Amino acid sequence: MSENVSATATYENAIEIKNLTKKYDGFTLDNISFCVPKGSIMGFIGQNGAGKSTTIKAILNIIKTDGGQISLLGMDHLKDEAAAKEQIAAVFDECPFHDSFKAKQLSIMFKGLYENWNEELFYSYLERFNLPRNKKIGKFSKGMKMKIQIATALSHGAKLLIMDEATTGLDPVVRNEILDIFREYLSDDTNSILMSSHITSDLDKIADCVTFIDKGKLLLTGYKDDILESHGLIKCSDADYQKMDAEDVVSARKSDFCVEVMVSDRMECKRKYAWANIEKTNLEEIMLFYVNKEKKEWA
Amino acid sequence: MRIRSLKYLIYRDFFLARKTIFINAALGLFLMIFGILVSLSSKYGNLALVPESYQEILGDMMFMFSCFLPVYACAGVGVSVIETMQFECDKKWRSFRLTTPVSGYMYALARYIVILSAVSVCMGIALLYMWGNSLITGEPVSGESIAFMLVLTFYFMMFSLLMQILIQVLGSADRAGIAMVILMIPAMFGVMWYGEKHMLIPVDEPVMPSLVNLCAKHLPKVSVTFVVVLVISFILTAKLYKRREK
Repeated sequence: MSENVSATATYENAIEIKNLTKKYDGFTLDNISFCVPKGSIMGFIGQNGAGKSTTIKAILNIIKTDGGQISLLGMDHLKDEAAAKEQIAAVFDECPFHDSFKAKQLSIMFKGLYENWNEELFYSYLERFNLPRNKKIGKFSKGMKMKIQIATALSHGAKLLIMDEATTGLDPVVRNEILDIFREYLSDDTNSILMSSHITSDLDKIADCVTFIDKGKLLLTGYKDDILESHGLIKCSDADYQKMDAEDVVSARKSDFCVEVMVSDRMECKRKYAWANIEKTNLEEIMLFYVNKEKKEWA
Repeated sequence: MRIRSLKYLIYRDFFLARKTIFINAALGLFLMIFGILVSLSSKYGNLALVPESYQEILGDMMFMFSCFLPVYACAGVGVSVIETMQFECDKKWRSFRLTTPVSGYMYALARYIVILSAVSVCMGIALLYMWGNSLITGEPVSGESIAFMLVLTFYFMMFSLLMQILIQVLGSADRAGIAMVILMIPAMFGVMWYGEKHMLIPVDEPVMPSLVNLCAKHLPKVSVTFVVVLVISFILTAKLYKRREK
């Protein structure tokens, strides 16, 4: 396909990943498959070293993969690489720009990198984020560096924003500001975000979909509300826990006082275990229990 | 779009190299002005009154100074601008660069244009200095001096380009330095052996003029070698700029 292929308007998913595999010594990204629907924000959750950054690097073609297919905005991420990257913006946990750059130099550089670079929009974001135009990036704080990255990402008409641990290390005020900007970005239904993080509280607030990954394996993927609705936490005695079917249980956390059991089908478990009080849960707990799924019981 | 990209990438690379260019150019300019003053002094000033016995030594030193000054102006700027290619090795920038729709060739082309422009301007200024000096001394600018300047500049730049390629391939300046030493030691011995065998610099003649003449004689070969090395390093650099992590 020619370099000038633009995103097909008919694509349903901003990102489609099928059987993505990448092998390192001591770690394997093992057949990861998930989709980021167009117009949504996908929270990509996992512990440190789970494979989030590896997956994102594979999506952005920063690393070679050992198998799988990736489609971005309806385009193949290898064959239509330049066309796809024209409409993608990446934001990393550390600012990649040279310390001696000021806003002006950054804008000039980006004019050369992206066809649709909008200088006015960039400067308007700088004003909104209270970022100085005449200060070198090397003198910025961590929060300011993140904001300027986001300002550049949002200023070239990108349809897909990919963020790798971008809010890690930021204070709650800055994180909230950034989340508000993302909500605005998503007011255009054709824009999508893939955001990796281990700060589940941010994703609780903003994500439409979530994907859990641990040790290179996909644990769970789907719409956040569906996942939160379908999962529940039962606090019971050990005796009651022993009566439960293993297939209903994701895993169980045992303490001296009780056993906390994560179930994956709340409605079914309400019917089966009428004695149980099944509480709603949150993404952090779901992540914890899924990470310990293989152990089944943990403390 | 990609030619348009080039304009802005060239601006970016000039901006990153600006301190290096400025410092080396300023130093070169200072030395040139100093050289002009020394020439003026040797013709009209105190140095003209130096006893004859010292004139020979002074003459040789001035000849060396006048030969090496243009080399410093060009090679010094060329090498230091080439060294700014290390900015591209920054891990964070490398990852970000791979997410942009601009090809490795475009990034490399912008950088090489900056390098060649900086060196060309310095060569122009150095030629201006040589011409100015010739007006003072009354001796015309010799082709051998220009050849000497070009040959040494080309050699230094080739060395520096090789070093930058090694840094990008091996991932650090330390490893590249070690690799360079390993490559250069046999090369140096080879050159010395060849030079001695073929009496490239006759033992009974002054070294500097012989060296200058030798450079003039080999200018065409060195120029071709420089162009070939430049093209190969450009292609390698472009491929390395788009090399994905393992």
